[in-house]
Amino acid sequence: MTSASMTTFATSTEFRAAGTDLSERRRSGVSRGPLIDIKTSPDTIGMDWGADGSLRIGACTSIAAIAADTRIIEAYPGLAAAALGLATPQIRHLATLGGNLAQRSRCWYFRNPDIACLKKGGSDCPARTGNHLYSVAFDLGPCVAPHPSTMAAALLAYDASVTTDQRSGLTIGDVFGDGSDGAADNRLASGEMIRTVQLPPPLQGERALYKRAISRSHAEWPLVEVCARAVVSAAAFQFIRITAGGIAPIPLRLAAAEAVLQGGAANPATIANAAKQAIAGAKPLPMTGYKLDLLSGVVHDLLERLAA
Amino acid sequence: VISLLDDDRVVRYVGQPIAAVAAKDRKTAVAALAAIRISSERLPSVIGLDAARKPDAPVVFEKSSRKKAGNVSEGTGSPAPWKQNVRGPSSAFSHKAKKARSWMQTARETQNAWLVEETFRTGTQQHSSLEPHATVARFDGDRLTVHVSTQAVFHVMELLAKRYKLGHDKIRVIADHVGGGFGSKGALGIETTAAIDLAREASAPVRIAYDRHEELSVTGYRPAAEVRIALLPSEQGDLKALSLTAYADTGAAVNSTIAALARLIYPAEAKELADFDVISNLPPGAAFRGPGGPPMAFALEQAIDEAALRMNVDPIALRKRWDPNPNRHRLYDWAAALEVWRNKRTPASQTGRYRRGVGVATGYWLYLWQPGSKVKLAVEAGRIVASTATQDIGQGSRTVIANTVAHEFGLEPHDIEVRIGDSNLPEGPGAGGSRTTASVIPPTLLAVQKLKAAIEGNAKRPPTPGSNAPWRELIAASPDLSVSAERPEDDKPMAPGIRSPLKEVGLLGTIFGWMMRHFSNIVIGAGVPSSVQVIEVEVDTWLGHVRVLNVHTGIAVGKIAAPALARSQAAGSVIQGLGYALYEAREVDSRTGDILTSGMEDYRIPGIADTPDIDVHFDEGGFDHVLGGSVGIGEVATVPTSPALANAVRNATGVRLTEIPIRPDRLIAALKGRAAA
Repeated sequence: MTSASMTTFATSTEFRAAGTDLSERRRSGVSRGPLIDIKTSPDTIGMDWGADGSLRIGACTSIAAIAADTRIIEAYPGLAAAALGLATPQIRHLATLGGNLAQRSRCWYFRNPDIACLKKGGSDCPARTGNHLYSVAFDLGPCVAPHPSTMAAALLAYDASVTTDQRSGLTIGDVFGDGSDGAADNRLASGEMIRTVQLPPPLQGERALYKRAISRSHAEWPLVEVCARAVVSAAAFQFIRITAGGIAPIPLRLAAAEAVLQGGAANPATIANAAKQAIAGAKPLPMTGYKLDLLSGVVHDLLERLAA
Repeated sequence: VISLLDDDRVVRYVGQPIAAVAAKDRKTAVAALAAIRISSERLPSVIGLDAARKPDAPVVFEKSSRKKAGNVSEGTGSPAPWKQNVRGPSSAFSHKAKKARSWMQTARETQNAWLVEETFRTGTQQHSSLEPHATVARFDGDRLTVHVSTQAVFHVMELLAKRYKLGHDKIRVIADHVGGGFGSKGALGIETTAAIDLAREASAPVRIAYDRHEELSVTGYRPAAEVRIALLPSEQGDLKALSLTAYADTGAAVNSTIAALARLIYPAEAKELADFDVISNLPPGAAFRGPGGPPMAFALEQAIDEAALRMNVDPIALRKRWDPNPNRHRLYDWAAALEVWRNKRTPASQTGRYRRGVGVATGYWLYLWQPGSKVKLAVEAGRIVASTATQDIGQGSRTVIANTVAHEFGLEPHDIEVRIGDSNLPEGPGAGGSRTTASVIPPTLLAVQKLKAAIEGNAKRPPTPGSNAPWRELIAASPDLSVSAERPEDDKPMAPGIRSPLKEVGLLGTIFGWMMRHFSNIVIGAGVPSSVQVIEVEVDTWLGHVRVLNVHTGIAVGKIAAPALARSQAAGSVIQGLGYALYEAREVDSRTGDILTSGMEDYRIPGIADTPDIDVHFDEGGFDHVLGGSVGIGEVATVPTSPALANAVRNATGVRLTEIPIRPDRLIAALKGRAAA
């Protein structure tokens, strides 16, 4: 591994929303480029409901506002629960939806100003060969840091789309890519800013849950987090969508588990099978095999409750 | 600009300060630091317990530089063998070690089912004081004033006097309120000497305050440890032999005492106890709340729990059988009567996702006090003022003194003005080793007697007959007076079974006690501060999560001088112990030693939602031979938490966790019967 003094930090311009991520990186010296403070405008703050029940959320809306919004809690309970489950009350009060999506990696190698890494202009990933207890279990690219955005994992479950100041109709997949670019946390262009997030109307009779596995009770980056939506009727899963964070460089849809459940009986055998399939395609690192147990466990937990 | 390099110009640990700059603002200082050109030669390095023990590992301290190693204990160390990076064995506290070894061997060969053998591992715990290490130093002519976040204003003044060749009257060390120390602020820190050196160079006041990254990098920690234990009951069910070998990951420091502490509890026919320091290029460990106690208890108290399971004896009953200490016998009776203990489930009888269990563990610490501690009591303008050069790092010493004086005069605590935190006051004890209460109450009580006599002797008229506050009247009318008293020796304890724990160790104990008194200015008194904790947990076997439902902590430290603060300290000790057991670990890169947990986001201490119901029980006997009857709480209250919790997990799940912190990955691995990463 290389030491940071041998490389140069990227000194590109960064946007500052609430600064809950940025201020710590400024203090440590990991962020050194010029800043652009984001000014809110009517379309970038607050909620705008469509006649069809769809929702547009401004990127400058606080996480706490999303968590506490009674209409979101009713229509998109998985999103509201995700918002309530992240960080601390103080952070949620300040932090914005756009900032949560565009935040930088929380990898402890990235955050250490004395260590170079792919995301700081380095040539290799020191976590891959070092202490990667909290890294990915789906190894999709050169960088092994899991994507830190909880909101992204939940929005993926809701088929949300993103509008920036340059583009519209971006899927969550478009925004975050496939994990193959270890240098970036997202696929936004330099200087591109998220303005709004759109959610299609919820399905008739759908329910949704969010849960993260952590060691403490609160206020910890997820080891694994899952958002699951389901329509259960006639004792079967008529619709299912399961997405996960904390396990891959991008928010991940658990397609193999969904395939087991889609149209399947809402019974313990199907649920147990789906929980097993949740880890399909996983490529854990030497220290992250436990995340697969947690992933199965969280999926199992959510499916049991959705089927109940 | 000053250099902080040692005289040999060798940088020995990751994060070692090498230069300091003072400037009129932060921006200028940062720019000046960046402008320093450093030429260096790369020396081989080694990081951590396993790598540093390898025979070909680069040696951190050559013979000539060994005095530069730090100290992870509170007292001075004894001489010990030292080869390459391994210092030890320190085995002076062994007792018939050869016998222990041969009995263990026989038990192994005969497959004795009661022989308990296991290797336990503990993580590196950081003090994580809310207030970082910080100093403001200024010279006024040849007079030096230092504001410093310290656990020992008087001791630091003495150390500075020696270092800078100044008279005691030329130095003033001030610490009005200290936001935590836990052992990391007991000595003279580099932030203090650097601030002083810069203040002298700059002829201006200089402040150095560590940021959180620096605080978590170089201010010390409780070393991680690997503790191998073998415990052998006799056929009659007594404790026959105990063997404990501890390797501590001390970084650039020595003097770990984990195994040695196993000598002073649970007497056995033979004990083989060996401590090793494993030195590497990590920053030096430091004394931390009961140094050596928690890792010793994590191994020993789980081994006893395991023995109880195998012998089919109640774990508290077995401890009563093996532990003759009268203070702890009262605590065992209290614990055995707890509803949560009486209702505990049969071990490993549950099969569901969530499983509940109850565990017990015992702790002890030494009763320490500091000779030469003085308290001055005065009447100033009709009000009582108590002063001594001790300091309050959160344990409540101001209130202890105020309560003690107020009680004797029939006044309220707020009637007493307490002045501490200033080395210009009469010599007072350091706030370490749980020694403050036992050092300040006895001289306070002696001074009270003197002050009463002086007030009465100077009174122009007696208090109003029938007054319900005669002392209040006398004090209000008294001219200004002052008296002082020094900490007296204790009485000989009369109660059976109360003696110095060092008596268990015979002549060696006497020598050790003498050394502590003469080289560390600490007396190890008679009677053993003790604690017994009962913890109930709920384990989520799917997600590897441990929820602590309730903690019952029984503590025998004599009379409680300030009940509200004593409770707070006992609860805080439990919370810090739960952090040690469940969350806290200093993580570094194993190649470079760079700290990875350099903020409170990655170094996780318990939050409010992780704090269970904590029931504090004080048994107030056992220290009648100490004037006032009170000794300290800080250390003994945190010793048994991690094994009590691990024993509760064992009771709930049938699985014994041999490594802390008990993170989800470790719990999942243990439940699945595989090795954790």
